[in-house]
Amino acid sequence: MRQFSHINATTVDEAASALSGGNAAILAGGTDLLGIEKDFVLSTSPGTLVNIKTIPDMDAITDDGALKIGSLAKLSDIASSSTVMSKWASVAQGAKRVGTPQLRNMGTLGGNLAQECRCWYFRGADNYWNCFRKGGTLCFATVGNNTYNAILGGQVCFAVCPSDTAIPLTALGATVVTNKRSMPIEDLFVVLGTSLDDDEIITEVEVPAPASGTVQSFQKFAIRKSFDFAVASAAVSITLGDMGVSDCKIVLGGVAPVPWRATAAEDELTNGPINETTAAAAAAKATDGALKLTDNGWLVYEAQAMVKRAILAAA
Amino acid sequence: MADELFVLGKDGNRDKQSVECVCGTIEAADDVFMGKKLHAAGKMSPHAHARVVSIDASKALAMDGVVDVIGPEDHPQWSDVLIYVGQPFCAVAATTLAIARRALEQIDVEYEIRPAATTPEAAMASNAPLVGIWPEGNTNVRTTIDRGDLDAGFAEADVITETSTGWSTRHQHHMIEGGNTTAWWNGDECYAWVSTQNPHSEHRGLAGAFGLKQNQVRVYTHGNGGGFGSGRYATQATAALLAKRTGQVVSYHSDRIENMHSGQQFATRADIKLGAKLDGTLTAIEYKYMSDQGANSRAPMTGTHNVPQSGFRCANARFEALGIATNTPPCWYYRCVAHPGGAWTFNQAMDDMAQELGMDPYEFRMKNWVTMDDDSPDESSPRPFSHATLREIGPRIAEAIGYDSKKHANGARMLPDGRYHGIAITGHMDHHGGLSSGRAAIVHLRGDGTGFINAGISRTGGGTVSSHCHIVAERLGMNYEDINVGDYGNTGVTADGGMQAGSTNATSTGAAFYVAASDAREQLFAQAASMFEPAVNAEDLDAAEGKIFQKADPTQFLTHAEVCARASRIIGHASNNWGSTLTRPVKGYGIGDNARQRVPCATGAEVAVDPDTGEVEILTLAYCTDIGRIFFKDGAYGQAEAGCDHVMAQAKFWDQTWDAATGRSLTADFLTHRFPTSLDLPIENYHPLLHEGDSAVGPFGGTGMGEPCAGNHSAIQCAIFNAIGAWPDRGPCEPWTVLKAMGKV
Repeated sequence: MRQFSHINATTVDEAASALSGGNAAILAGGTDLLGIEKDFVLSTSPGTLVNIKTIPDMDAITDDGALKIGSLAKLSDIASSSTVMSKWASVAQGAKRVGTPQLRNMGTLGGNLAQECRCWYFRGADNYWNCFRKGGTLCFATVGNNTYNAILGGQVCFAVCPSDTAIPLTALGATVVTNKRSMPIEDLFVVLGTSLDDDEIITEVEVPAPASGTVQSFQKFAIRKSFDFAVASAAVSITLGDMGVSDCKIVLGGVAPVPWRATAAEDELTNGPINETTAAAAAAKATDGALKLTDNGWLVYEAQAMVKRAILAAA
Repeated sequence: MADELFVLGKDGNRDKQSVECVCGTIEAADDVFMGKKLHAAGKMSPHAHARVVSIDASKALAMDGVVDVIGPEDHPQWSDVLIYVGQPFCAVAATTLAIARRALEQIDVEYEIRPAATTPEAAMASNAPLVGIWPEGNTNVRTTIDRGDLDAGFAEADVITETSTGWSTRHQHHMIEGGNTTAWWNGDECYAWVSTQNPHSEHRGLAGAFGLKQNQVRVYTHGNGGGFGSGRYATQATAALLAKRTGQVVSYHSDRIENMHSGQQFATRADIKLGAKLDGTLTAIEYKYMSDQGANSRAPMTGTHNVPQSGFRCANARFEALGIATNTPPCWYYRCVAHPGGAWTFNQAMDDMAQELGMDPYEFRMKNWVTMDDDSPDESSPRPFSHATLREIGPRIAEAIGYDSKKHANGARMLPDGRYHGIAITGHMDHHGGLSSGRAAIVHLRGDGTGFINAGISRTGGGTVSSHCHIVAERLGMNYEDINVGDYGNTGVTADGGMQAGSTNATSTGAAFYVAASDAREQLFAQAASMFEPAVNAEDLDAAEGKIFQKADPTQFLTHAEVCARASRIIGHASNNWGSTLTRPVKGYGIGDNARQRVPCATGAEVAVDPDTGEVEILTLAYCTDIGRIFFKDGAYGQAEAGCDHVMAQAKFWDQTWDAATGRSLTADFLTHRFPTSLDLPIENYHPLLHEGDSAVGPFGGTGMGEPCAGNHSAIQCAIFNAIGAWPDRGPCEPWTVLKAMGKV
């Protein structure tokens, strides 16, 4: 990898100051960043890595009515947290499906949300493909092999959001807190990555307590169960009332550049009972608007299967 | 051979090198000379086809820590014409590996880009650019073999089927250690630690590359992080050249991406026409296949037809092989070489025919598998098989997976959870595991009655050297614990143990150790005979369990320690060429007649296929090899279990995907190439079985066994066919290929 300097930040302000100017990057778990650097994925590298693991008290997991998870909380801690599992089980399920035990022991929530995509073309070693996401003019997946690229919301880049935690957090209406602002988690993600400024650091994620009668689930399909990124995933948060589903959120992962709200599926499921038939009907709506490229049409089936299973598992 | 065995196949014998391996003290080529040395890294072609016009290394050479840069004009094995992405043509030596890799980025290269053909289809197009390995075109008829009268065979058939398969898996080998070499010079003598499956061959290669006499070279290899056929690299000469130019010790380190672009398993597809009688008797086989050789004119693809050629009884056959060159990394040997593609394609045709006949596909195979009643059909002159037991191990597989109670018509059974159920058994007579020539061995008995073996091989596969210790201990009548491994993989002191490939080493080098031990035994018995009171003749002695005793009265014995203490020195050696000749009569053939050593192997798979996702779960996987005789029991079962892993990995996971526009791999790392972990392998559902069919060829009737597993991933594919009634059109059977076969995509 290219040379860099290394700073151990002790406060968020100190870290933000070091990050300002753009020639620096946050180093937390490092499971994503170091891979990019070792393979020379980008044309340039940050001159400074700002270690934020040295900032105290940013890894807490608390319940003060809402769930608050510090951005440095390790994924393994989130996966096994009784606090998380008490009312936000799908978040724990998402964290548990990230990578391997070793990766979960290193990786943090903030890093899982802000990680780079896994598109084969973006990740080509030695910056082989200067794709649109890197400032080039073409998404090479659209003319090359796109077996695992987006079927929804692709626009100019068909890389998919690889985060497993973002999907249940979106379904549960989480808020992302940074050193600059608080925003709905949907606003964190954009087609080309995240909306974070160069000197913006995720400090915490807040998840409201689910309404009474809410059930939830996260389902992930991956080719290797041990540590693959999602081929497709789905998280559901369903509030049940006397007349069946009174409210629901259905979010797809692995098939779009951002966590993808399947609003047509939500509409299909709302105001009815949950059973095999209604779950299948909602699943069929979940991929409305899908754009199939040459190789990725199969993801429609995977996404629909995950939605159906998530609905039935939640119920 | 021995009537009663005391060491071979014994429970509890431990791998002689297990402590070194587990503790990490076994030396690897990268680990030596950890003090002052230079580190080297290579620059690989970014283009599928190009010529290097110029290299400007001035910026790299100006970097602190960079000591030397070499290019095609410096290197005896490099070219300025690049015909695949990943072809090495430039290297840097620096004080640290990080500096060397950074310096690669600072080397400016001007390329003349040439048109490339990166897929078989593109290479076979009428206006295809020349790949660059053959002067006249991109295809080459590699083999045509005729047996009997094909037309007559089809004429007598009641049913004829035609099967066109998709491409089998093309993949990398996934060695933990890539190609590393640490080299240095002492005057005009070259020394090198090399990660290799064949240290003595690398020894000769280094001598040739630098115009040295062979006694001016020493190669060392102990630990070798896997091979699977690809454990040979071109890094030796690069490290040695940089060491010579800089006058320092140089370690060349290949990284994972470089490793992924080195030797690969080739992909194969086939057009197969079968003829059969209504009772299931095969009357004709026409097997036409083609393989993507990558940028290698010598890819060993022609063994593909061995699967139908040797395993099935059929009087009329034709086998045609077409090699296709592409501007992709060269395809070389992979475990079992061409048999995986052969099994993957031919078993599709067998199942298609079984379906057409209305026969159970396992019953159809049982009817047509060869037996000892057959002569090996793949020779113009008749030869008996060494052992042909497919019809014995098939039922063992069937019992292990409960075939009879679970079998059903294709697509006819659904599990309670809504998934399709499939089950299948395939098998073939594998061409690996036999004997190959040119192996040598040394056995050295010490004064206290213990002994060492010196082996001219590395530890590429687990247990090979321990197998040799078993053979030597058995032959000398010693206890296993009393035979240990002396030096190995050191070409300065060991005899040439040959290539650890073709699953031949346990048997071929084992045969050399058998002869070397016999030599030592002769000396041992001569000494012992003179020590008995009264003296006896050496031929009146035998040995077992640490005693040398009189055959007529076993209570009259001496220990090995007593005899060795009186012997000045006992060294047994062999420079062996133990051919595939019979060690006992078979049918009408006598001892010493030529035979065909083949390894019968079969696999049974039971799967569940999820119709929603296309995911395939392996419910049961049974694998059986007839290895003739078990030498080292723990090692043999370890190989069988690892064989199941390879079956799984090929069938479900390993996938080399190329960008067709550039010829660059999109999956050149463990993550995207999908190296399965133990969590991905249903080890609890494995049934590794070993069969001892007593081969009529080879030391103690044993054969090798590492590779025959590899072709058996076809059982999983056939089980998927049984589940869904359609064939995935490529390997591996990823979910999207299964969904496609089901007509969903």
